[in-house]
Amino acid sequence: MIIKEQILQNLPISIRGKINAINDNVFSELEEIRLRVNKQLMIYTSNGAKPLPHIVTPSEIQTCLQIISGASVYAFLEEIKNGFITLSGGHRVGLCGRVVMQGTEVINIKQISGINIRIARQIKGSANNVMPYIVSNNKVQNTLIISPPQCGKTTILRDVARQLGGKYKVSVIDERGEISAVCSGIPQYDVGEMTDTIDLCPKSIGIPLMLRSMSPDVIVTDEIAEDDIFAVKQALSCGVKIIATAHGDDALYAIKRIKLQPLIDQFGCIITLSRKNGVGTIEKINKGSELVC
Amino acid sequence: MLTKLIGSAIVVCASSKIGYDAGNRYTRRVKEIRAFQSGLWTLQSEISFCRTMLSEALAKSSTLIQTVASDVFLNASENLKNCTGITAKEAWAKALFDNQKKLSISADELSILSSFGGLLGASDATGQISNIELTIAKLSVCEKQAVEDEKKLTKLYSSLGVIAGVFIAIIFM
Repeated sequence: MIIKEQILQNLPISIRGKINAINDNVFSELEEIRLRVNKQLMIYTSNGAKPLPHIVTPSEIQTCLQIISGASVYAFLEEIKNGFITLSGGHRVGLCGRVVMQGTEVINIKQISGINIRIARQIKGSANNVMPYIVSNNKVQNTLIISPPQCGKTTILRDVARQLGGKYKVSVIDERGEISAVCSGIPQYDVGEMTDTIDLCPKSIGIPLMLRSMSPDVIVTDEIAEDDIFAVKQALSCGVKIIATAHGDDALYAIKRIKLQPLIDQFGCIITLSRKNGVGTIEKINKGSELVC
Repeated sequence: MLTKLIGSAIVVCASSKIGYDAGNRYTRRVKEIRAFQSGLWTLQSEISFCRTMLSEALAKSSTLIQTVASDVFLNASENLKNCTGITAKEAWAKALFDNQKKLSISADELSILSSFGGLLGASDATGQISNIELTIAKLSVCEKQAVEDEKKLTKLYSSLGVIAGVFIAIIFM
């Protein structure tokens, strides 16, 4: 089980045994492992939280951070500033602690008090239900996938990139390193034959950069925010299709929050996901402001 | 008589060798301190300018220096690469421990290097650079003392070895 090995090798030895003892069936459903200082080690599956009989010590948190960073915390400062580190295999490690600010900018997170290891799994075919809406009349629609965290946005987005990457030139702007999970220049996930990835690059820089350098047909990116709208507009004005995700449980509210309303009519597919019937439940699909599913 | 002469020659040679080795330890100590300093300078520039991963930076430092210090850097790098779940502090401490018998540095210098390992890889670049600079500064003080010891004691031990050998030979004659 490759995922289990990837996760275990990033844990302190004292915690490794506890996670290794988890039944394989439970592990296959594991979504998160949480380490909180002086609290019980917790695992989260689709069935909810389960505490393990181990109290996490401050030194275990420090050791875990060192292992995750290859004993080179200094080399991961940019990632730490953003609050997470991406592991080989695409798993994301969220960090919580005392933020050090310089002006309005976060320059470091010190005294790490909590670590959240989110296990990433590539599910090929997870986008099958939405693909007919994303590619309709043989044309790729500008698409926005909206959901709260942990509803399968990135998993579906990755599969969309993989499926479109078989037919179109796709550029993935992977700011958080989660879509392609590039490690030493090699995407850890299958994101398509004709897919190029630029990773750990802000979307507002990555989108125009890929437009100039890779002449894509489709740009795929995760978690767009207000700051990225100008770059999205640039891509749309070039006739390049955008497939993006955004946080939110309501499409209209999310669109308003990221200030996408002026461009909304150009989005032929707006998908809202939830966990109502399991991860990746399609709540509704809109075409612009019109409900289609 | 011939046996006695041969025996005396052997005693003088053996005693001189012991004296020479004892004196030479001070020369090796100076070389090792300088090699550690040089390795630390390389480590500092790798971290400061390139943000190189620690295992690679340690390996690079080891290639640019000689003496047992090179083995310490290389072993620490290998420990980090090969032993999953190990921290930089543990990797460095293990490398120091494994090479301790081969090292000629004093207990004080060993303690400085152990303390250096305590903060290795655990902070941002500024913290790492400060840790390296502090270690280099402490080693510089040790280096001055080591050079003085070398001047005084290398010749002393070599001479003592020869004199002790001659003295023993005379007694047995």
